[in-house]
Amino acid sequence: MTSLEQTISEMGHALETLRALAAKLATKKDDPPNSEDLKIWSNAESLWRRLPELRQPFGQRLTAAVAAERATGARSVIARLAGTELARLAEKHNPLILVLNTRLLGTWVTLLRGLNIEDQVFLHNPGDRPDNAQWRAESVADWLRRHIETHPEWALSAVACRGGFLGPVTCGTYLATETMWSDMAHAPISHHSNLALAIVQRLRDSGLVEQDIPVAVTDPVACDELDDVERLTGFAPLLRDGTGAHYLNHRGCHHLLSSFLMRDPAQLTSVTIHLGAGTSVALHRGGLVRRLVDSFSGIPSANRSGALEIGPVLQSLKKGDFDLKELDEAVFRSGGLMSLAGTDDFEAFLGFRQAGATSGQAKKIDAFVDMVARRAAASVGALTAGLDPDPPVLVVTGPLVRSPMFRSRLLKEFGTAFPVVVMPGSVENEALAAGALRALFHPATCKDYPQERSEVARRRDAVRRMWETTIFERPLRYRVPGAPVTGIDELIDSAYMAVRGMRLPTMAIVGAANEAAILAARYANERGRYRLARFLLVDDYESVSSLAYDFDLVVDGQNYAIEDTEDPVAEAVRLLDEGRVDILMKGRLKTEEILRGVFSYLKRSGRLKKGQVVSHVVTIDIPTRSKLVLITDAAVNPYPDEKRKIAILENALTVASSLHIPTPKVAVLSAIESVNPSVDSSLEARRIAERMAHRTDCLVEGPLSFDVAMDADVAAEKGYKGRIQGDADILLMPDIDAGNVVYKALTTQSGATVAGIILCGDMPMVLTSRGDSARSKLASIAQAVKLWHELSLAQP
Amino acid sequence: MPSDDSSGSRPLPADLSMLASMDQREYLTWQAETVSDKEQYWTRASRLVEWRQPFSRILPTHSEIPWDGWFAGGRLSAIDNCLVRWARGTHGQRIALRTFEQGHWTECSYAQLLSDVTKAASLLEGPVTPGDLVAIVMDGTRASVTLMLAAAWTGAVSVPLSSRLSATALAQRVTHSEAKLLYLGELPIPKSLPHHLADTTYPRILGADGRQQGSAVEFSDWIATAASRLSPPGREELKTKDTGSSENPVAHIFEARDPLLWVYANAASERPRVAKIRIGGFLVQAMDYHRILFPKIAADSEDESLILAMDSSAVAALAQGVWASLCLGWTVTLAPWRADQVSALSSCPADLSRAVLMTKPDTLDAIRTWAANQGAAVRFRQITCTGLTLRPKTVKTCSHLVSDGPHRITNLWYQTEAGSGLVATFPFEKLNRPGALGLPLPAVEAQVIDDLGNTCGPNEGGLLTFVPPWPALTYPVPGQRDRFYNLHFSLIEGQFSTRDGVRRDEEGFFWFMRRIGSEVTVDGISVSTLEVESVLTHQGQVKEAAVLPIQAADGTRLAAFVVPSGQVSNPETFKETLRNHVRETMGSSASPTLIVVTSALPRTRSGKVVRRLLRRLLIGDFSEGEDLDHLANPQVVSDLVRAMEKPQ
Repeated sequence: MTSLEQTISEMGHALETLRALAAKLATKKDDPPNSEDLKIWSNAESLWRRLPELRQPFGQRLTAAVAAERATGARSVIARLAGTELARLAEKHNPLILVLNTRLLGTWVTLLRGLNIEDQVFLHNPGDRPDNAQWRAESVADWLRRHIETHPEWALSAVACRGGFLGPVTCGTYLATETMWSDMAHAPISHHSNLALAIVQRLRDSGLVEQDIPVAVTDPVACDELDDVERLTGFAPLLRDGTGAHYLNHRGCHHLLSSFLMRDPAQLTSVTIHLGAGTSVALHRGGLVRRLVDSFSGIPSANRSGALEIGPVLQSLKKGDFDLKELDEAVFRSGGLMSLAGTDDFEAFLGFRQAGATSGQAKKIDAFVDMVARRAAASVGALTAGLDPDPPVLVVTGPLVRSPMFRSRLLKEFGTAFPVVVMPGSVENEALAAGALRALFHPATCKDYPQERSEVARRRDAVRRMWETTIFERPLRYRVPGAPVTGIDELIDSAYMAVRGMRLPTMAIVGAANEAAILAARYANERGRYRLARFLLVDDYESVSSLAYDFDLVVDGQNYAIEDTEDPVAEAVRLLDEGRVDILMKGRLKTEEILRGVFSYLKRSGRLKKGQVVSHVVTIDIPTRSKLVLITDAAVNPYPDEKRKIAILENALTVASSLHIPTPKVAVLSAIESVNPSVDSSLEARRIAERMAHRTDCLVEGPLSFDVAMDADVAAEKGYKGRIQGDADILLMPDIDAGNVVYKALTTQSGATVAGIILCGDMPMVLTSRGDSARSKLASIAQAVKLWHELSLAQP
Repeated sequence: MPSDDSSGSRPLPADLSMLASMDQREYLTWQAETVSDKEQYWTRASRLVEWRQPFSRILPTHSEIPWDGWFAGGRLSAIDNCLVRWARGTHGQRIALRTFEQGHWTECSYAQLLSDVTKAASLLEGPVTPGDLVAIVMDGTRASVTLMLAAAWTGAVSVPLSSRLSATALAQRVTHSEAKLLYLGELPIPKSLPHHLADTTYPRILGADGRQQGSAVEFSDWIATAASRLSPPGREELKTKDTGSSENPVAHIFEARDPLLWVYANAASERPRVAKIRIGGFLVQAMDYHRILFPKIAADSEDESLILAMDSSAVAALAQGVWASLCLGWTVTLAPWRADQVSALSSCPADLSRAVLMTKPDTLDAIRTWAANQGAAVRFRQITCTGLTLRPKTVKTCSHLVSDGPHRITNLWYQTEAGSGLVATFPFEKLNRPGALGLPLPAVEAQVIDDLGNTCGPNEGGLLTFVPPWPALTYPVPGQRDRFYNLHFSLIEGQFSTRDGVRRDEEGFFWFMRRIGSEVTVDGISVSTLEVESVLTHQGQVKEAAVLPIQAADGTRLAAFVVPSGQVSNPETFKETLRNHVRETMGSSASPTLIVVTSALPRTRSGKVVRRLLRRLLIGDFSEGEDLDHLANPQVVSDLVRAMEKPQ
């Protein structure tokens, strides 16, 4: 037992012990820990991380350990990334491996013998011609040819290359297959990472690479392991797909960290932050990159703007501050540091801070560094939200963290929230080499590209379908209860509000073997937040069943049940008598057939009181009008006398009250807006207005012409002096002809939506027809249900 | 016969006491067990049959025809099972068959029936050899049943035909089947029968009396007369045989997979669909289900009676009403079933209150009306309806016709090609819901599948399908294999698709919703629109099709909406190709007069083709701006409207 173990053992992992230990370690924080130290760390890792004051020393010691090992060369890193068995095989067989890592500015080419680098070069892109695979391949071929000429006995055993925008797959090592070559030839995005496979293809064609040696692709850019929730956005057509991050380096760092902590990578949770020409942040959990902040969703990079707030972007686009092309440039090519500082070279940028920057420029540089650091910290916060209480280990990597200034600023941002391990540069080449060893010695453990591609596609599709699941087919807006209902949608919503938590009424569809009625019944319970009613489908069993089948109505015996009968009206009356039905709805039968049948019931049961009439009220939502208008009577009472008209008006006022219309304005219509003895309807309209003049719950005026009642400009133009100036709420029609003509004219010619009911005392009856839109059908039921609730509550 | 290891499984409800005490949940649990071990279930059921040679394997193997080969290696005699076993001893005097002929009820015992069948069989030998077809109009007479059994005695295959068939349809079937012998009963001889049947030197058409239509004769006279007509030239003596004791059997021994019956599926089609029923599976399933569907008065009761008041050529009638009833020793009463004839029940010697009435709902309505006019109450022990939808209201209004509550009125769902009833309600309160199709019968896996191939949730309407195999499932006759497969097995991979739209409620009961497609009469010929659709979609150039009847000036015609599977370069040639294809497969009456080529068919969100909308489009009863919110693809309607505007 070492002294350190002894210490822990003796003090039983007590907090005080660890704190003391931390203090001890902090005094020699830059010394690399020895292997025994590492073993102890590994065993006590979660405890280390749990104590805020221990996190920094823990991170510092790990940073020192990793740095010390990397300083000895790539060998040990490759060995760690490949694992013990593959490293042993590599050392035993010493295969010659070509590693190609295509970067933005050139290609890293590495020749590896076993675990040792024979030679390595960064072949710069010449600036005088566009980047492509052909000339990159030529320069690699030249370099390779020189080695082969020098060592004719050399034979490549495997090739490792960076994978670009393949079909999205999970992370891991893949053997290049025909499918993969084909996918790469049709990559959806042009990117330097795509070029490695194309280079290999050309090297094969030229004979420099044998056709039958394995070509390994590890952690391509187009990996995608996001969990389902991470894919979601607030805008259904745009789902996040997880591709386009520095998976090779992220995963390499995570695996390296796991190795140092002697943990299975699948058991370790970490966050890796890659800061370079591009930026991305990845959460590793359960061996997968489950959460990700990529270049577009987070931190600005050398030439990308990073996440932008979409609202201001849209406003600026609308205002013309910049156009779509400029935005595209900023997001993909010349945003970020390039647009802010005129360089995409962070080193130059930060170096300029120390030499030559004015105070104003220095301030901007500092602000930029602050911004990047803060965004990086915010990204980590976003990725680690809701995780275990133990904070994950953070790895900060990428070329940018080579800068001490930037590094210290960044570490300051994290404070003691996480243990932070710094791994400047990248381990991409080493990770590719480890992948090649896997492909060479354990090809069976390589992943199957088509299979993984299908699996990712399936998962994406499943999430997309889930996210596209319809919940409310019609937008449902919040309204304050009791507010005046000004549109049909509001009417429907207010009905939903009315039924919330209340007993659902039972609606009998009289003659239910009718398309429109069946559809209306379906809409009533499928289009909103709550079900509106239970439906009894009163008609011939076979006919109703057949319709229910055709229109996907779920006859479950609860929400929808069939009442098998050959006489729907008689059956409906029986159901009313038995109290099994609250509301009637017209099906295939004519309105008068139903009314004739139920009239005696209404009288007998006292539901239609003396003086009350059965009348039709249609609520109309005209697109050009800011409020609803009620028309009565367009369907039931053909030529009512004055007394009957007042009773009809009372019914309309009941409906208006249900719509919370304050002091409804009632226009008693005639052909003209002044009394003319030769126009009977004008005389009658005046008498009605006079008889209703004492009412304070409504304002009744007449005679009014339709245009004066409905159009303020016309009212003004005609010099109408009344209080209704084109803003009538109720139009009391002179007769059924006028009522029906106006109703049909509005619905067919002005795009109006209607809700039609017949008020039978305290029982509404719903009318729908095939010509009604789905919205109208739903609105009619909604209005009846709302009214029924209110009238039921009003009962003593 | 394979050993029967019953350990670990609940026993078959041999005396049905178990069924009587089950609720639907318990039944479905038990039923699921039977589905999961069909082999064990059918092994037990197979014991109801007397086998001359035990079978070596129960279930069919997975071959090209997955349901082929039930009870492989088994050999059995139809006559052993339905007559010989009962004709012995005292049971031989029990009434086997009761019929109503020429205004009188006639009865014959099992012994007598066996004797008649033996004699009739001896008549057939000569004109008919094993495997030949004998067409029999099932007119409810003793002769029709005797001949069917006699055919089985000789090893021939019966082709039961409905007595309601038109002369044309009858002639088509007889011609199509190439029957060697035709029993017409009271029906007149159709003009267009094949020549060989009309051969005057060797006539093979039997009437009710064998000599002239319409005169009443004793049954023995009929046999003699028939013998004289059937005896081939040079054969002078009627060959009479012993009544076939089990020690000296003479009846034909069938292989289990030999056909016993040919059954025609559609009423009067130009190219009728026909399927074969194999004897082994048919008898096992029919007998087993008979015991479950019609529980005996008491487990040891020997006085069981079934009144069959429906067309006895229907598969359910043949299976449960005739074959299984006789095989189980019941008395079968063939009662008149037309509305104006049901009053014959007044004089029926059977004790109605102890009898099971098997009928169709429309006949039941007629019986209700007749019963209402009777002075005394009419009650049956049980009423089982089949063939048409049993409406809840019918159960309600007929509940007084059964003695023990409406649950004694049950439903049996069957389809001809299924070869058996597969879904039923049971005469127990907990296992019956008025108007329901019922629960799946034991060892039957029934599902409700929507048009997108998804399993429907509770109460969602979809197509009733069954997962094969089951023993009685029919198989196609030569030349109709593709047609059979396309119609029943192509819609949902590996499943037998019916033409019934159903739902299954939360309790597990199936409910009928609608028949998909329809049987349409075109020029007097019955055509299944669903089959025309099937023929079109298997033509190769059509992805989807919907066929509907239209009323033309010259009568009913068919209209087809088709979605081509590729580009159509010449629409007129394309349409003509389709018409010819249907004509060749199903006959000219099935060929669509109007073909509308469209990009898609209007469908609901569950994938159902909205035929009502297509129908309205055809008759011009559609207006722009109609509510199409219920459609998954409302945009297709404007395409259809445009397509309809083009000259067709």
